[in-house]
Amino acid sequence: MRPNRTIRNRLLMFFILIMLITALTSVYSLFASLRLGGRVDQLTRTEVLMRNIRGQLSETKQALDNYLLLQHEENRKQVQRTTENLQALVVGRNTPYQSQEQLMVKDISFLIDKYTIQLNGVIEAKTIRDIMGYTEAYKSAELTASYINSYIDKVLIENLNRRTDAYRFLSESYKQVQLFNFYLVVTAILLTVLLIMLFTDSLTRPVVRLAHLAEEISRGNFEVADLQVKTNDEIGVTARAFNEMKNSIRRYVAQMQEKAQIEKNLAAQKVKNLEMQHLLKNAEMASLRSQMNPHFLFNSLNTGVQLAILEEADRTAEFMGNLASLFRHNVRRLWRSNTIDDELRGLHFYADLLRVRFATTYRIDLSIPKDLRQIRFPPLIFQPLVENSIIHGFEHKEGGGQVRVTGLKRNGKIVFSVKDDGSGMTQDEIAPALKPISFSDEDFSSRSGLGMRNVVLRLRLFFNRDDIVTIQSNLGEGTEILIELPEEEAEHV
Amino acid sequence: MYNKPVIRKIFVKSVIVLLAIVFLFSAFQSVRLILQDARRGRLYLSQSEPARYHFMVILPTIEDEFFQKMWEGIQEAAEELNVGVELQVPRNILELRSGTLELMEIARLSQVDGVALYVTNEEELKPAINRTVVSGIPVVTLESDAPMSRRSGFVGSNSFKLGQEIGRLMQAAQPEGAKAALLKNEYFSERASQWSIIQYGILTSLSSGSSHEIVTERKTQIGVLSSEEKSRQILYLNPEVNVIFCTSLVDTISAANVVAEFDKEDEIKLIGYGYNQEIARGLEAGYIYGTLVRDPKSIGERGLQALLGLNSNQYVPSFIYIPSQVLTGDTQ
Repeated sequence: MRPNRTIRNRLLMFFILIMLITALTSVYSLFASLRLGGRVDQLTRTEVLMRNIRGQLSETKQALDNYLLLQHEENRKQVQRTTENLQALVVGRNTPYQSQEQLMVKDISFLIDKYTIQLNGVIEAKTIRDIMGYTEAYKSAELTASYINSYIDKVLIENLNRRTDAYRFLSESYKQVQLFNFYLVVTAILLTVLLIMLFTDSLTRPVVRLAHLAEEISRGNFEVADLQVKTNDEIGVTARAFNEMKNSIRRYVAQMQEKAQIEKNLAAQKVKNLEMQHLLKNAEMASLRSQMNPHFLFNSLNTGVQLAILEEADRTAEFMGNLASLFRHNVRRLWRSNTIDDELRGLHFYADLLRVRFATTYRIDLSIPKDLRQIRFPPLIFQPLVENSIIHGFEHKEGGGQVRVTGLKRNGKIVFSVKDDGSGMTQDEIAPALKPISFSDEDFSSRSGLGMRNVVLRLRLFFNRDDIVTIQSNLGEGTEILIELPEEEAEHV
Repeated sequence: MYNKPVIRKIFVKSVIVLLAIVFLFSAFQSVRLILQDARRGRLYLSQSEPARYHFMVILPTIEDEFFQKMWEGIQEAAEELNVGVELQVPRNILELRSGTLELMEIARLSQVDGVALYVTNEEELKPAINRTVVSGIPVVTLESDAPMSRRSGFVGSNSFKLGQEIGRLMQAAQPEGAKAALLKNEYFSERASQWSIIQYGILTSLSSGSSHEIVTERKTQIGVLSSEEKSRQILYLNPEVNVIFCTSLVDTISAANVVAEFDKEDEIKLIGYGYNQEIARGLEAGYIYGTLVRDPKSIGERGLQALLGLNSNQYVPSFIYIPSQVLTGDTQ
């Protein structure tokens, strides 16, 4: 957008304004001094004129006396010259004016005319040697000259009075004028300085702010406020463009950051998927591998059960029947979700087997309310945990023990607990137990002591929560493994 | 609420407006003051306007209040009629006669358009007046006339009536019989014919066969000292005097002072001439019995109008009487 008020125009206007103030002050000073000069000239003009007349009158008289004495033609010409000069001084002064002074000057001009005529009369009488005539004429001329001189005095006195009055008025008036001049100059200076300051400020402030903003942005901080410039000049346009640019960059950066986050999440998801796939693959392989033997083993067990029935070995038949059921339960696909109810069923088989297997009595209590039994759950979770308790919890404990598998709702969560009263764990043992098994673990294939970590990993992956399993245990006080999931995340079948 | 930048902006704008107002006001005032002298009287020749005529006014003095008023009247009329008036006063009182004659001569040589003159010496001035009139310059006499000359006109008080008023005042002041002394001022003394008319007026007003009479006449000069001296002389030499009649303002005040000094305010009634604050006080307090008040301002105005009329070929009567007024302590 083309600015309406360009810096050039603003500068021009500003300079014109400053020049106007200065010019007004200067023109005023010139006017005042011219006026004063004119006044002084007017006041002294009459005095100068009167002096000239008096001087010229004296010269004329001198010339006349010389002529009368010597009667040289040169002297006559001198008289003529001086009278002409005298008359020239008062040329055009015959108009009456209202001023006394000018009226008297007019009188003088007429008297000079008369004097000139009388001088001519003297010269003429002298030329024809009319002694009486030129003596009379000379006396008359002298009288007229005395009138002129007397009038010159009066004019000078009148002039002096007028000058005194004028001077009094002028000095009185100019005192006030000087006071106002002082105000004028002071206000002109203050006004100019203030306007210069304001203008400079208005011109540089946005530029300075722009520079600061640019510096801030160059440091990577796009969260600065927009530059507020109200002017509509190039700086205003630049500021608005700068604001637009800053906001655009900020938007792009935000978009890029968002994109980067999405990509990061995507990459993490990919890694997770890869891990999952890897785990699946291994599980599948393990499953396939295990499916080979279980079928044979399962058939052999069934044959064994029939054989035991035929031989009437009922306990053997029951044991082998339970073992066969447990196998059947366990050979299902590991990654197919089942319910808590399925888990409990498997645990029953496992408990029956334990009773036959171990001479020591282990009591396994299963107490999960019915409303929690239909929750979708990964398979083979509780059995490894119970097995873990029996193998590790009661390893150094004589006289058997108790394992309680419970479920309840607490504080908006569903909590499953596998608790034993075995030898417990040290705090140092808890953390490694909770560390999920990784497919990169070298000992993964060995499957030694990894039941717990396998369970943890599968639970985390299934519910997509890292804090799903916690262990509470103290040495000698038993161990409780807690599986907590928010109620809203529990999926009922 | 306003924030700081807004207050700052308002403050700065107010300061600029204030400075601009002071700046313009100062400029305006300065220019006004500089230009003002054009309206303050005639201080500069350039302020003087061309006038239609050039008249010369010759007065014996300008220090007397009477003549000041007369000059005021002339000036006002001159301004109104756009006429240039040149006031001339003999250089000093001792050369009153020669000075007046000289001025008359200058007026004639300067070819002024008219002369208004207070005649101080009729006899001496008559030829000069005649010469001036013959040379085509009208001459108007103001208050003091030269009836025997060829003057173009007279503007002033009616001398006969003035005399009658004086006579009547004398009778009123001393009904039993006025023994009057006249302090005849220099202005009056040489105007033989006019003074005769005044005397005639006085006499006609005094009832025939009465004991009223003018005991003595003393001539006073222009100025303060002379009248005081003459008043003393009257009181010393003419103890019978019970009325003193003065013919000028200064004489009246001086005589009043002398009468008071002699403590004769009750015996001697003072009849004054002219009017000012001092005389007003005298009338009120009773140490001046009465006074003849002329109207010098009107005399001046009408005199100038007469000169203008004479220059414009209009009819101007030979006598233009300006009424006088008699003031006493009662009528004031």
